Amino acid sequence: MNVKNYVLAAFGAAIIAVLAQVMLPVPPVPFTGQTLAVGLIATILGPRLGTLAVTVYLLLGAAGLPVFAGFTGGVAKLIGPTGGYLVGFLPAAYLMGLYLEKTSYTYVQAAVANVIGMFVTLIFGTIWLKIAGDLSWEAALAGGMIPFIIPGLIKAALATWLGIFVRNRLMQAKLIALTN
Amino acid sequence: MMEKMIFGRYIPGDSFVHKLDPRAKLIFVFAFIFIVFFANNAVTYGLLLAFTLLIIFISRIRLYFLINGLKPIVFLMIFTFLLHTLFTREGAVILDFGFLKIYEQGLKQGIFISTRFLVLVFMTSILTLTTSPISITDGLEVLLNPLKKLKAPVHELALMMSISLRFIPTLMDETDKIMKAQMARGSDLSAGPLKDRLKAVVPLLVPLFVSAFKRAEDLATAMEVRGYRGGEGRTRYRQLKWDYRDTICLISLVVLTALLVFYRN
Repeated sequence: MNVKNYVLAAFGAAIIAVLAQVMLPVPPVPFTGQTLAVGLIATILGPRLGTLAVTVYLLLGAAGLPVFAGFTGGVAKLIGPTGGYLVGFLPAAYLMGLYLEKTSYTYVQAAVANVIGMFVTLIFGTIWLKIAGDLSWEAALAGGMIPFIIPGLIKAALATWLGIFVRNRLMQAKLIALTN
Repeated sequence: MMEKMIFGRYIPGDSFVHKLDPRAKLIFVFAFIFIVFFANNAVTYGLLLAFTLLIIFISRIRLYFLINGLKPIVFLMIFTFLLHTLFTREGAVILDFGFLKIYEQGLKQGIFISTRFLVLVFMTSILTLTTSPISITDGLEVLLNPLKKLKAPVHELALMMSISLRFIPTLMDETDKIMKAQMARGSDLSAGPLKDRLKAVVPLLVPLFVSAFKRAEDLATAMEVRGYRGGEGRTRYRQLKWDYRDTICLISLVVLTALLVFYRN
């Protein structure tokens, strides 16, 4: 890996940090750009650089920078009961990037990738919630998985549409290489 | 908002805790995260709470900042507390609402887990309140050095963190400008049909990515031109210094661990 890739991943992390603070007022679930940004970065930077960007993003949060949604940060946020949803971004970003790289960057494939990403994050988060919160599976699923599936699917649909749209625009501007 | 992003939650000071080497603090906090799980009865949880309060006192952090840091997590604590009290069905019934029974074991477990969570939040908050993000990055890099033998890109990760740290405020500024520019052109994120609102997000994202990627390109070129070749042989402007304080900090960690192991069930 050369310097340029490291710098790109660092900027990817910075973009996630910025977008995580932007509220998208989309009914019925207004949501922050955090999940969206992770999906976008994985779509645009590919599996390796995308995962690296997410790693840096999580490390920045762990170092106390308020980079997580709603200007929060700190190790507590990462290791707490809901930390799994953040750490889950890592495998999610990798798998999404890998899937898109192996297939093609179309709306249909991006939709599949985003749904995969959503479930990876949710499953990771729920298992973490069960362990860190010392809960039963029943409680962890009821509190950490089921209520988030429908909003998650809505977010995935949005991330798909925006991801491919923005990617195409960036390609037109020749800012990302066609092969990537 | 900008200041928050640059300094993180760091509040400058000159207490014992502020003066500790970031390496000592990082070792302490990471070990603390693990030894918290040794606690399993009232004595051990009490011990953890007392120790945490002592550190808060020594660090001379105003309680306001700690409580402030707790705000986004209060909901979570109540949430886990409720999940425990409502889903554990062991021990005697304390409260009976007919459709809902609260069991003794559930309540106890709920209190214990909340305490565990509270001390973890306080302890990690103290780390980030008394140490600037840049010294945490430096400390992490040195501590993770042994992982280089396993080909982990430790230096590169620290470098990327520093670059992000430097450019997050710039990109925030940029986003603000782009939003204002688009608003001046009549784009509205908060009104109109769903499709229009979504379409309004695109003219925010594209310029943000474009400007970020251009800056990345410039920075990478500048670094290459100046002969940046990675961590090998690089000298440092900020030096870390291990002091008697740091040794005291680690000794207190060992004592706390011993006490927890001794008093647990």
